[in-house]
Amino acid sequence: MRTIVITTLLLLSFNASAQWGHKPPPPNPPPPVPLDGGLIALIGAGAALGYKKYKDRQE
Amino acid sequence: MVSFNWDSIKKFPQGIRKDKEFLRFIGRFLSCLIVFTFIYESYLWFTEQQRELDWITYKVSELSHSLAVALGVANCEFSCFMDGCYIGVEGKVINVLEGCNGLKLALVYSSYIIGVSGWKWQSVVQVIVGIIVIQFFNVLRIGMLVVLRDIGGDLYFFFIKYVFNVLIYIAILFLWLIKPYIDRAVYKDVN
Repeated sequence: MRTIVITTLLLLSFNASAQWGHKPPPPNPPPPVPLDGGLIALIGAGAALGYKKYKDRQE
Repeated sequence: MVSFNWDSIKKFPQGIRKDKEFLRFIGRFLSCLIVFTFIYESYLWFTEQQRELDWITYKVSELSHSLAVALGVANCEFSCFMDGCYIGVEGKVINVLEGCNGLKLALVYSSYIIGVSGWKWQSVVQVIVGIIVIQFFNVLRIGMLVVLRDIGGDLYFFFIKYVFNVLIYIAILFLWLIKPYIDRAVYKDVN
């Protein structure tokens, strides 16, 4: 377990330093494609699912 | 005269005891989320100090670019800067920022899995499989967006953008819902 955690952290420590683009960024930035807009809802859904799971087990 | 209901007082600790399991889950879920977020934000802070782009955003962008090329987008360009990557045909590029790499969703997913089952090797396997599934959907989403940006109008682009986002969230909920069945089928575990 500890090995997996350490390996994951080591992998995360890599960065993209050698992989820069050479062209300047576009003057008018294009629309971004974010994915993290519903994080709070997802956390709430996780908590609700957990609550349901334990309630079901009690019954 | 107001009478005091002693029964409700007596039942209170029983209620807490009944919910102890749930409170333990919430404690593990939120503490994992806080620790994972702290590690990730520290990593982002570190890369920002180095004036570099984080490796996850870069890899997701690179794979999405490869997918878009494989799907037939001619002259698909790919360039990365400190704030993110640009993928697509000139004049029709999309911007992949840190918030697009799907890792924050993966952290919430992983925290739930560990919150339910604790730190077991089964949890780690499910976390790894789940992260691969989330990133697969994310690369597919960005690759498809590049294709659609190339061939379609903005309305279609935004429609697909939201549909793909919802699909990834549904995929996470689905993975959470099938977790007890996987535990039972693969690990003979009822937890």
